[in-house]
Amino acid sequence: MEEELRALLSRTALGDRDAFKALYQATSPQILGLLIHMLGQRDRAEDALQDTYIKVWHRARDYHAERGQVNTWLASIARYRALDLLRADKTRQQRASRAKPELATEDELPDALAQSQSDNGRLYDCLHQLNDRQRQSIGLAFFRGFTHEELAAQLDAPLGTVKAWIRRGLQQLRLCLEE
Amino acid sequence: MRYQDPELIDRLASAYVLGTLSGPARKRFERLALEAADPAIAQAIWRWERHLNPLADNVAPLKPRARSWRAIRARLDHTGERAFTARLWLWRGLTAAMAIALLLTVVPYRQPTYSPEHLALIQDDAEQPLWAVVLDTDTGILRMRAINAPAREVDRVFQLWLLPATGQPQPVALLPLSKGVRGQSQLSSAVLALLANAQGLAVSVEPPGGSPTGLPTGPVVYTAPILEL
Repeated sequence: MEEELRALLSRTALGDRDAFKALYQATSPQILGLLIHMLGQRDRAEDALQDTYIKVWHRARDYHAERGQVNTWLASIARYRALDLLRADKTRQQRASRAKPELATEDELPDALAQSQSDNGRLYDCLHQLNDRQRQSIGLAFFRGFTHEELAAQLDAPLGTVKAWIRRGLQQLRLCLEE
Repeated sequence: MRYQDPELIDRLASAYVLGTLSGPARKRFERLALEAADPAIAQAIWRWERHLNPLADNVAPLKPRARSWRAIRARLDHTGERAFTARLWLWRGLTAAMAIALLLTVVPYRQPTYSPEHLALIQDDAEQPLWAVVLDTDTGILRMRAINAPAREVDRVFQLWLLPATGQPQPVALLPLSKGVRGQSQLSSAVLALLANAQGLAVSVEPPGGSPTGLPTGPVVYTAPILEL
């Protein structure tokens, strides 16, 4: 699968639209799933999906192995786009600073955080070595695109505490992954 | 700004990838990474992308609406049929180039100690050197040094392009902006394949992060021939 995706991406970099379409068909459902988690609404997610693949078309030649697998690179582009959209959305920021939104529990986050998957076994093992608060705040930042301030409101914790959960959580994660 | 500390770079890169680095700090970090003055920042970002972003593999997939693909296709058409035709020519040229490259690589004989290098010196109108660029063809690593970088403009960067024998310019790297600063970039195999018959290099003025379209959007301010060592 990965080899096929890399081949499609190389052909996309050379301007082959059939390859680009095949790449889109093979990968877009996963990317849309991610974008819906981050952006909440189907329409916004579909718009962000379009932006993502326009960028993929123009930047296909920039892909290299240090960006990870093709799926990972696509997810990177999609997440950066979603983060830009979220940060530009002032109403959401104001809402978050004004009042505590309804609590999202870890149950609402994708199974990704809850169960070990064969492909990414190591990542899940490492995530589960974190304490619950660290894992929850990293999960909400990753899948919901929450800022520190939004996390503090959501998790009902002081800002400094939330920042420390994330920072230490990420440090531990890195140590575990690079062991 | 002190971005020499690997621990600090790693912490900022992790927050950048996760998204908790926001506001001006995010913009500043992004710009530093893109200017390629120090590859350590981009490499730290890539490392965290490899660490965290596979999490996205496990969300429930959802098939996009058919009109999303139609919208993407329409936007590609809009950005230029001409570009597409040029790419077709490029593709034909490249197929031949790759066939040749393939033939060359299956020949077992190789000189192990000699690595072909290409060199270019980018000069201003008064023939003052601005940047020196050296490419190791074996590894595809391009090294750049600003000798006398031109006056730095806010929110503008200088992007280096390869001019193939036919077809459109290929983006190569963003040039370092301050005198004496070195940069490094890994060229894709697609660009390397075009090198042999290339007409030379060009430098254009682009917004931060480089051309958003993959083709020069600002004026081409310098050109330089490529010399083989």
